[in-house]
Amino acid sequence: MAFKLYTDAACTIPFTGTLSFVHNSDFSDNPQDSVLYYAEKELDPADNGSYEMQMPSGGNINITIEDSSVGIGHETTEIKLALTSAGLDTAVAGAPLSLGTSITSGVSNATPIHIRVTNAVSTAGISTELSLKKPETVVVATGAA
Amino acid sequence: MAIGSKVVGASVVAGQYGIINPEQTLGELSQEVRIVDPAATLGTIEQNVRGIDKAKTLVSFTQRVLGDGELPSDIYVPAGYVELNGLMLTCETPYNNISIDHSEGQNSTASMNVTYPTGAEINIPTFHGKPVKVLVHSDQTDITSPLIPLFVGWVETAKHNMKDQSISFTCSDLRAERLSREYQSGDVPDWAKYSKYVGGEIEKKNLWTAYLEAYSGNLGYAKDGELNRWDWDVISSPVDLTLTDDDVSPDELTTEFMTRSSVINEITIEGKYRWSKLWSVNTTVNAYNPRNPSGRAFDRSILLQKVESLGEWDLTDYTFYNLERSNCGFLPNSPTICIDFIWTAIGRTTYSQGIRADLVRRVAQPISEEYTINVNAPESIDAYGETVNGGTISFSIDNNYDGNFWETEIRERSNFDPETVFKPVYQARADRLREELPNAFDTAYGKARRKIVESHRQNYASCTVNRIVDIEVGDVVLHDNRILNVKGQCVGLGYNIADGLSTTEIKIAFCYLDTTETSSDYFIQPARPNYGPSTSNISSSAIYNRDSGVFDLTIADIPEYITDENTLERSSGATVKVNKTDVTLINGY
Repeated sequence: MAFKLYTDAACTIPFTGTLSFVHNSDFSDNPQDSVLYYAEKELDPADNGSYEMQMPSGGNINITIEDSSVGIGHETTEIKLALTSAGLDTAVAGAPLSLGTSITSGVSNATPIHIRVTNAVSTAGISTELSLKKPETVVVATGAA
Repeated sequence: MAIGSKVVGASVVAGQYGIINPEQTLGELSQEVRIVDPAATLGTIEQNVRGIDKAKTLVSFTQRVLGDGELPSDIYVPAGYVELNGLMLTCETPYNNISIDHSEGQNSTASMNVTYPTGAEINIPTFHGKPVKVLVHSDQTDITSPLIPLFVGWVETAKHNMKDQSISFTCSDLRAERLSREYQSGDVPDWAKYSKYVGGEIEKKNLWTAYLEAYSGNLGYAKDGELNRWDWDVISSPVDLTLTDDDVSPDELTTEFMTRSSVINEITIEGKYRWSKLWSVNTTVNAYNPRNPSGRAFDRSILLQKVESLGEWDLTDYTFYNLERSNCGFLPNSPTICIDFIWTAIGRTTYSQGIRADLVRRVAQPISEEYTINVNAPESIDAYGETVNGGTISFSIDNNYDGNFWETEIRERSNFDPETVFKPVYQARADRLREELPNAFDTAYGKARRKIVESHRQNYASCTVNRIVDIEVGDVVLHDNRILNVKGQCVGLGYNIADGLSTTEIKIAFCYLDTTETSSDYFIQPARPNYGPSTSNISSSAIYNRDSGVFDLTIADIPEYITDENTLERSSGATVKVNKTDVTLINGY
């Protein structure tokens, strides 16, 4: 059991892992936004906030943008991340997203991850080089029941 | 056993074993006063166990850039995508005949053929043992529709063929290897039952198989690579997919019923639990002989010494019979003056006419509890008219208690008091593994239930749908079409992707029984057999022997019902529901 991504705020539709975008080569359809919800509902089905995710040694939980082919094709700067839709306007392209020092279990505590993709590649083709990664974290019981 | 002393009339000889000793210092008494520091809690240790959530990729982006002037609707929607080691194999690297197979209880597999450009160096590290993902658009007419995974795994084999300048890959989701890692911590998951007494001491890497043995369901990995677990109870589960006339070609729909010989509708559980009952066996020695006419009296210290030295018997209480005054009747000619030299203040505290002693002996008796539980499926028994026993699940738990501690070694404890020695904690130690018994029964019932349900789940319906159907193994499927109407569970899923071809083969399992009988999963822990009391009294006798002048003591033997191993039997029953469903099958259109 672990925190997972869902495509809906009620966390009923698990995210399958791949977010696909179709871009025009003239950038006319930029940007494209999407939102996913990060939640733990299997350990905490009663939505009591019984668990928290934290970094093992403290500090912020950062979601990072990774590029498997740096310098070629799509770059991390095409992606902006934010906790709110409005936050995407001021987010730094390519920067990690801080989820704070902890996130709490339960559907009502789902953390929205807003994603904005601004394509910068004008050559037709298909790419899977960009991804979002989470670091190793720990899940602790809060004592809430 | 002889105790006592001779006393001869006026020429009094006190005691059989010696002359009365004068008052004297027997020894010095050393006394040490120690301060008692009572038990107390010094502090509390708080331990917080943290689960580790590993670093991982949360989102993989697939970005398709259209050519100048191209519209999404202009784009031919590929039948599928193969992502190999993070790189999408595009049409520049043609592939065909992607076949994917998901079967319950098996590794999921995928195979594909990838043609490389002539003369190109094959970059082996790009595929050897590398991760593979097969994806399709959820709407295979819309290039913008989300991609859904059909398979996530690793390259197993890669065979290069110069004839067609291609590499044939086979891939596996490594189900067994991953499940082994998933459950090797030793922490039994909430859904599982495991007892080492039933399943044996299992290597940590194989614990997942033990968990499955007592679970009516299965484990696997979903098409997106996430761990998946499902129950076999489809009756109370909602339908995930309905296959109508539009989905199913009647020519490709087959229904197969289970063989009669594979039916198992009864499993016997035999459980043994061995512990020791700690007995306290009591007896009383009542030795008394009047002073007259024999004139005999008995030295108290010698009497006491004797009752304190009766082998494995411990003295708990005693009372002396007071010395009686002699009437010198043992002398000839009945003298008119009788002088009883021991009838003094000292004599009356030194001698007695006997002793009444309470004794106790401890016995650790092995008790063997033998439980027999018949687990059956009433629906199946009614349908087939026979009880078909599929075997016995046995387990044995033995405390291996060393009775020597209770019977003798306990005397060495500094505060040993035979009268109050019994403490519940001692009995608990001889029965400490009883707390393992409920889990052993639950695990055995779980194994029995799985075997019975599994044997009835071997009716199958298979069909081919001419599109990609996004379901998982374990999902509930309802056939609601002209040919077949049945609710079952997906046990096989096959995808075939090739030029102009995208099909899904769906195999479901269901239970059909010709009966209106209903049943439920019913099991309660068997009650502990009555083991009776743990104290007993046996008789003893002490008869004064005039010839030897001593008491002949006889303590009865400890009866066999206390010393011998006692077997207590308990039988009970349990039931299983086999999740039967109605089936309607039409032959023809």
